[in-house]
Amino acid sequence: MTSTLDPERLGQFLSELADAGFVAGEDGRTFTGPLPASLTKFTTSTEITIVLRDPWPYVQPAVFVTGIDWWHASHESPCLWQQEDNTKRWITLGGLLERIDEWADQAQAGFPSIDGAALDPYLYFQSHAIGVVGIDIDGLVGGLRQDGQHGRLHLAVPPDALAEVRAGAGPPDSTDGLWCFRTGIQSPPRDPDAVAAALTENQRRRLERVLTRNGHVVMVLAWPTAHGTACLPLLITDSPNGRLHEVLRPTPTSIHDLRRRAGPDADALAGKRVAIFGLGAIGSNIAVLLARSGLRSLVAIDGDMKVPAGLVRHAFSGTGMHKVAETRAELAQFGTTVEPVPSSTWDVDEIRELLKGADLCIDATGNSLFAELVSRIARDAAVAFLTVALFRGGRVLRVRRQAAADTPIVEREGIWRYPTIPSASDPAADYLGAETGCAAAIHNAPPAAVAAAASAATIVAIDLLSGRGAYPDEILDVLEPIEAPFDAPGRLRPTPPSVMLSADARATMTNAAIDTHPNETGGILIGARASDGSTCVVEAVEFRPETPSPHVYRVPDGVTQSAVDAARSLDERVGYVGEWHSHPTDQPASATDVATMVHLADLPDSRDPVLFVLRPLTADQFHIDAYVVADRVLERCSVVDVGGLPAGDEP
Amino acid sequence: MATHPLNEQFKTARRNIELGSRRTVAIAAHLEVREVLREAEPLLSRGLQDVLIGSYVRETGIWPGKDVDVFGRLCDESIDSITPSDAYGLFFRVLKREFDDRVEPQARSIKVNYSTGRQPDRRFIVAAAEQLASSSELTSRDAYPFAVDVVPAVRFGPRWGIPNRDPSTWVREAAAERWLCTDPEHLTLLTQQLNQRLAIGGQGAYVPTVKSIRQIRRAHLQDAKPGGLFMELILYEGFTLNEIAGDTWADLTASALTYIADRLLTVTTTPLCDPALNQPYTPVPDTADLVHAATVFRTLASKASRALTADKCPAGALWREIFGSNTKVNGPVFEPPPGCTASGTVMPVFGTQVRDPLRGTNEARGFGVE
Repeated sequence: MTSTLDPERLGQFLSELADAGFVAGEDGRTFTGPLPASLTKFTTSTEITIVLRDPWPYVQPAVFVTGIDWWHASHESPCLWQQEDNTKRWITLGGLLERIDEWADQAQAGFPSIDGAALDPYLYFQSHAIGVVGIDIDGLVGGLRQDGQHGRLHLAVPPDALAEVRAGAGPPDSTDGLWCFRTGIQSPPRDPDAVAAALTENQRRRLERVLTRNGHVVMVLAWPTAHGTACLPLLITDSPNGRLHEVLRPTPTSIHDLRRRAGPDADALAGKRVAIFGLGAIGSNIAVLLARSGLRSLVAIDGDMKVPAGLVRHAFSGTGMHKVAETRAELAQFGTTVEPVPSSTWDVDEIRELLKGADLCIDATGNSLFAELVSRIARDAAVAFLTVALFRGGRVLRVRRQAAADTPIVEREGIWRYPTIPSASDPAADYLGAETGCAAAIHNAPPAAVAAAASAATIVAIDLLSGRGAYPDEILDVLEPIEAPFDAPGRLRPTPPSVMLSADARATMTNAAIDTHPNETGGILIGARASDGSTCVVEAVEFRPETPSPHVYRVPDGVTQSAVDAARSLDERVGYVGEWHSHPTDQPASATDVATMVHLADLPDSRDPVLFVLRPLTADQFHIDAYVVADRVLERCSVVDVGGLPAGDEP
Repeated sequence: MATHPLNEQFKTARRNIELGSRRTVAIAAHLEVREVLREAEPLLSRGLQDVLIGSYVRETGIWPGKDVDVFGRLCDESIDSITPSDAYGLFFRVLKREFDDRVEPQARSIKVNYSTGRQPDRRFIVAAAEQLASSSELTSRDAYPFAVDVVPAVRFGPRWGIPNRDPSTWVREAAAERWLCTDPEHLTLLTQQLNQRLAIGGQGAYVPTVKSIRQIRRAHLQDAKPGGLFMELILYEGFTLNEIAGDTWADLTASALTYIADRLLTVTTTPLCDPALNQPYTPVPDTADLVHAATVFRTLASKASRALTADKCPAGALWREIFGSNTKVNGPVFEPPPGCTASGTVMPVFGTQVRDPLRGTNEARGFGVE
């Protein structure tokens, strides 16, 4: 009987089977019934067999149809479900038959998508499988892709490593062989006779020659398909009992195949060059993640040797060699070229030179002074910069990006979007003891925190290099809560501070809005930034439209700076801080408002602008909504009424 | 004396509760109604002399403004020569003929309604502005719904009689029972005189204090009794007795709040005097209303007392709370002092000069739905 944790649903399914004319076998899990109409074009059989597998419904049922003559089928079982398929469409007979119909349509169309295509020709020889073999089939065939081409190969079997098919003749004791390329194979050969029939006369002759000489041969039959080059590696052995065909399950080994698993950004990363300062715990992990993701050119800068104690957090397992040399050696397997720079330079000219040609420079030294230095050099050199570090013993990680439109790192202090990570009451507790002597102290962050930091930094780096720019210019992840605002685990999303609004400015805006309602009016905001980064609006200047409209408000060309200059002539502390306008109805900021404010935020003379939107509650009562632009998003913030800036001699 | 008198903030608060141009509109409405009355023979033949009365003429009115009271005096009639019904009828017919459906009969007066779409004629606005030496340029906010209440009045000895509030009394035998004795003009005179007695910074203190207390009453009691006139009469008493005093607006307002809180609890045993008639003021509010108002004003007086000794910012926040809000400024009328937030905290530090001031962009830019 079928084992299940969901007997009720299984009961329903079995009822559906019975109603559809399926007959249960003696094992209680095999059900044979009428062949779906969609499969009749592939077989002369009139029956289909459904075999339930334990534990139902978490393992998909197998479906067998005798005599299906279609190369995508393995053992007369259509490949209906991929292993990770989680649709559970098979828990009803209707869903299962629907999937069979889809498969039939795709089979008829030649499987234009990977979905449903069983690219596993070795399965026909599964009963004679002897192991897994690595093979770079496109590298093996190379450019010789005309029908009937062939070439020499050998089977390398290194100790404690994957056996691999390699081009050319091998060492004397290796198993030699032949690859044979055919262009006309429509479905994979299903038995030795079909294999022989698939070869050209010349290929068969050469194969026989090796067999005669060695008694065995590795033969790789290759042919083109819609999904790439298919191959069937066989070890053919002549013995007194006859000729034996054993299959080697192929697994791809090429850089191309590696990159297929590197994600959709591999192509974008292939042409990029990244310089990493610091190949320690975090830096080495970033380097390997970037290489695995498809980066091909890396400048690795670190003057340190790898010590055994670093193994628990470092990405690589060697010791005693330069970190950059080890990085170069380790990343070669991913096709990444590493330019090693065994130096921990602080020389500005040298650093500037190292940044040349880089699309991104990453600081993973954990040294905040060095990070600031490089951020300045990178900014001057117009090279995107990213720095990552762990704080408070690995409880908080921070990734800072400094790309073209980002706030320069040296100007972030005091801005609400970049909260300061508080120091520990006992900073020594976050570092290793006296191991390093007078050298830089080493963080005691745990390996998981290191991996998280490297992962976060790599994701931000790839986001930048791919041109998406979806991440903010600073991310803070709390891995273990500390003091507020870092007191909850997860990604910190800083909240904008309140905007201070003087009574005068409020009155100006409100009276103007009431006067012009239901048309719109507006203008600019004059104010000052406090030492803590908060904004105080002390004056609202109105530019009342000559042609009022209830739909649009425009700040006229050429009026802003003279208004700001006039305000500054009265109080040197003030400058431009934002925009305001009224709405005809009780509506928040519009899409146009957002676009305009994001545009203004990008301009050097209108950085971090505030927006006040006055929306009417009644004809003579307006509510003021305040917004700030943060990471190209307009965020609501609260308004604090104030009495204006303190006099110059007041705090 | 208050540690931080916050003179500028009190000044601004008074400005924020002023009627502003709405006073011009009210006077204009009076002029418009008066013109109609003065062209009516039945009224002229009875010696009509109309006069504006109430808070507008005493200048104790505050935002948003209320109905304008016009005293329609028939100088040739007395409580013995005409009944309230006849006097009322004379005014009603004249006003109905001119203002038609805008006329609304009240218990003892005739209301002429003004709406935002039907304001006094422009020539009356100009005339009122000239009378007040103010601007005749009005904003949309000055067009507001209000009414002119015309109250018929006839001679009542040396004072004036207006119809009793209850029309069923209008047919009584005794004339003094048909009419209610009043003297609004005298109250106006007394108000002006009292305003001369105590000055702060060269400005008469009584009238501004009445306005402040009316605003505070409206903010905290809203429609509950006692009303603004009752509070005004308590203040009149307190100022007359020198029980309300102070060298600054803060001290004076705190003193007024304390006097009111105390006096409200004694009104039922020691009636409040109507100074114009020199007799107990009627109607006396219900005891429950008086107790409630006393409780509210006790709390406000306590806050005011704390504000007198508090630091600048907390003091500003307390006065802001005491004064409450109005629709003229769309929020609290008492502004925080410079360097202070509305909640009474000190603002962050601002440098003496902006290191790299932003000037904004001069490029045109759009908002809305374009």
